[in-house]
Parts: sequence; C-alpha cells; structure tokens
Amino acid sequence: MINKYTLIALIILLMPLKAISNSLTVGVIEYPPHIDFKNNIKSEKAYKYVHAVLERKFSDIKYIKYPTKRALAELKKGNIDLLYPIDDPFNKLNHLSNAFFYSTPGLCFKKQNFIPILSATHLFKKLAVGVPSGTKIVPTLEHSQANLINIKGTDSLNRGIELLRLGRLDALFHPNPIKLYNENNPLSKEIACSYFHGYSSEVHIATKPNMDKKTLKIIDNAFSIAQNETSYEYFFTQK
Amino acid sequence: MLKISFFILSLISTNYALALTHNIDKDSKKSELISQVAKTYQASMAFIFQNQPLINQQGVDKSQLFGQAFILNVKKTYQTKFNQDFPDQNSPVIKSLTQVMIEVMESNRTLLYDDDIAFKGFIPAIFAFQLSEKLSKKNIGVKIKFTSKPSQIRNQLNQPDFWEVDAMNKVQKLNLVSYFDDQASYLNKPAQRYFLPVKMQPFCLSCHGVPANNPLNAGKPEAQWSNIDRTGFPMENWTLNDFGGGISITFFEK
Repeated sequence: MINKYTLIALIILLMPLKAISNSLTVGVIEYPPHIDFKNNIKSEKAYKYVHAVLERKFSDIKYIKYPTKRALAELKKGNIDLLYPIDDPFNKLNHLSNAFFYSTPGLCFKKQNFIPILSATHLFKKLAVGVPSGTKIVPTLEHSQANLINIKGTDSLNRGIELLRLGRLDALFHPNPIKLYNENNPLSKEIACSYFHGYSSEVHIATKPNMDKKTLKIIDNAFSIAQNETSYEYFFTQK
Repeated sequence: MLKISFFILSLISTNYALALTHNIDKDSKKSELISQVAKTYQASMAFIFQNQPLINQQGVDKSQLFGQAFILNVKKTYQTKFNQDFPDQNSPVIKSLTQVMIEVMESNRTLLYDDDIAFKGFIPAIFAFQLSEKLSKKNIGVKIKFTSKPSQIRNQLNQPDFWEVDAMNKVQKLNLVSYFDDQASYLNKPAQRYFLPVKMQPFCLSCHGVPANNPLNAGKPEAQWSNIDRTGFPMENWTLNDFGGGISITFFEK
C-alpha cells in the first residue's frame, strides 16, 4: 500500500515532467507580410494562427524572435522546439507534415520596366537578371534567353536589390518577392515584382531534430486539424 | 422450393436495382457538381474580365475585388451568365474554391493597388492559373485547369494531357456542349473528368484576335498596328466563336 508521503513524493517527481511536456519554445523569423518585426508580433496573423493552435495543447509557450541564421543554429542545437515561417528549398529540416503556406518565386523590376506575366519568356531576351547566390532558380528562367548574373556575397539578396535600384540590373530573381513587394514595405513604391506561378514551394513550421515522437504527433495533429478547418492562407485574408 | 428461389431472386434483383439507382443518383450528383465547379470557375474569369478597367484603374476603391464582396460578384455573374442559382456553398469543393478565390485576390492586393503600374497583367487566364495552382495545394482531390490544344498554348505549364486532348477532339468533332467521363483515371487512380469548351468571346479577342482587336492599336494608323498584345504575346488571329480551349476539371481519389 502506498502511504501519503510516497504519494506526495511521486506527485512532486511527476510535476516537473508535466511542466516540461507542457512548455514549448517557438522561434520566429521575420517574413513580411506574415511576420514583420517592425510590428508587435502578437498582432501578426502568422503569430495569432500558430498561437491559437498551440495554446490548446501547451500551457507555457515562449516565442523568441531571431534572425534566420541564428534561428537555424538554435533549432539544430535543440534550444527551440519549433521555428517558423521557414523556406527550406533544399529539404534539410524536419518540419510538420502540412505546409504552413506557400511562397512563389518571381522577378522584381523598377516599375517602369515591369513585366507582369512571366510566362512571356520571350520578353527576357538579353535582360540582365540578377540571381542571388544560393537561390534555386525556376526552369522557365533558366531556359530563357535572359542574361543571368550571379550575385555573390553573404548578403547577395540585399546587394541585388541595391543593384536593381541603381539600374545596374534589369530584373532581380527573388525566391519570395512578397517579402519585398507588399504594402508595408516602402521599397514597393520603387520596385514591383511579378511571379513565376506554377513554381510555388512550401513554407514550413520546422521542428527540432530530436523532438520526442509524442510531442511531435500532438503538434502535427493539431496543425493538420486546424489547417483542414481553416487554412492559414485563408485566415491571412481575413480582416 | 420454386417459391423460395423466386423470393431470393426477387430480393437480389431488388437490391441490384436499388444499388444501380443509388449509383446512378451518385453519378448524376457528381456530374452536376463537376459542372457547377466548371461554371463557378468560368464565372469568376468572366468577372475578372468585366472588371479589367477597375483592375487597371488608378486611385480608386477596389474593395469589390476582395473578400466576400468578390464572391458576391462571382455569384451575381454566375446567375446572369447561366441563369441558374449559385451552387450550395456548403459543398466542400465549392467552399474550397471560393476560399481560394479570396486567397488569390488577396495575394495580388499590392499589385492591384499599385498606381504606378498602368497594366497589371491580371487577366482572366492569369487569375485562373493562380486559382488552379492554389487549389491543387489544398489536397481535396480536385484539379482545375484552363487548357487548350498543344499548338495553341501560351503558358507551357498549361499543356493538356492525353485525356484533355481526346476530350477536346470529341467536343469539336461532335460539337458537344461539354464532355463528362466517369470512367477516367488520374495519377493511376479512378477519376471523374469534365471538359467545358470555351468559344472565343469578344473579350478574348483583345489578346487572341486580329490586330484590329488590339487595344494598343486603338487610334493608330493601320500601318503602325502591332500584333503583339498587352501581355507581350503575338496575337493568334482568332475570330468570334473559334475554339479557345476550355476548362478541365478532375475529381480524383486522394
């Protein structure tokens, strides 16, 4: 027979375990217009959606804002449980089974040079198109007659934007131009982007490499049910 | 003994008849739904065409292009175009389709409100392609495509598959209003497929017609006319009621 002291000891022993399984650390990366660090992230739709799903399963959820490189390092070390929204073009990360949303690559132009429909590839002939290093370009562009210029360096995307603004490029390939061409970005006064529809890729909620199977299943199921009910992309359209 | 055999036989035949009726009923509902999806898609494209002036206009309120206001407009277009009520929005397929329409419009908001760009390129075919792409990600077992004959395709990602080529041939040869195939397959799984042909209408001709239809040539002497349309493609010289491809819908097992 278990006496009351043993029972209390058992409860005390089990309490931290329960607390651990109920707490979650979520890394958040800037991904305008879904998450914009200029705003309070709690007012952002991508935060609201994720939090509404997680708070049904976890009582203690901590969100930490990170620059992308640092976030990836923290995820790999297991210091954060989840990380989002994250593009993973080379499939190196563990992530939930359903995509969080989709991003579509495109070309950005100074507005006077804007090409609205990118399936009109004959218009790319001799166009100087900057391609930031490490980005995976779409076959349509690869097989076109555009003059592709590799932009090197650690900050090649921002360098590409500068070159475009200076008129040293006719266009810039961007893996997710919505980050640039959205109402909240002042750059969208100068630059406009169009999309390679048909080449969209998944944007994920990544999970840490050593996440225990039970927790992973709880989170994955919770998101699958929520996405079936209302997808994040539809939720994003709601005012 | 004879009575028992007769009784068993009549039971079997009743069950068979019931099952057959049930299947016919199920098939006719599927065929009705698939046709409603095609018409909804077509109505949304028609609305996008009708609103090209609003889409390309500067400094005006465009709220009619977004959210539930957009769906309301698609419903009205559907009713006017087909003289029928808009399908039940509680049907999961129609619900997904209308939600995806809202998503597509929202993802183009920055462009649609960009007053520095006079021609947005947000034409019906582009809207339809985005709609198809987004719907394909929803994992609901529905694929929609606006396609045409291989030699007539502008966007190579819209190339027809074998079934679609066959459907287009049948539609043209037999002059069919639409073509439904409940014994088709898609990705090696049983599927119901439907093709709704689209004839060239006046609004199609501004891009696919002859140079005289090209709005860029308006007011210019004929010697200066261009056969390149506003989207940057050479015009096809098609005329009213020419075959302009069609809407291909596939319902398949997930």
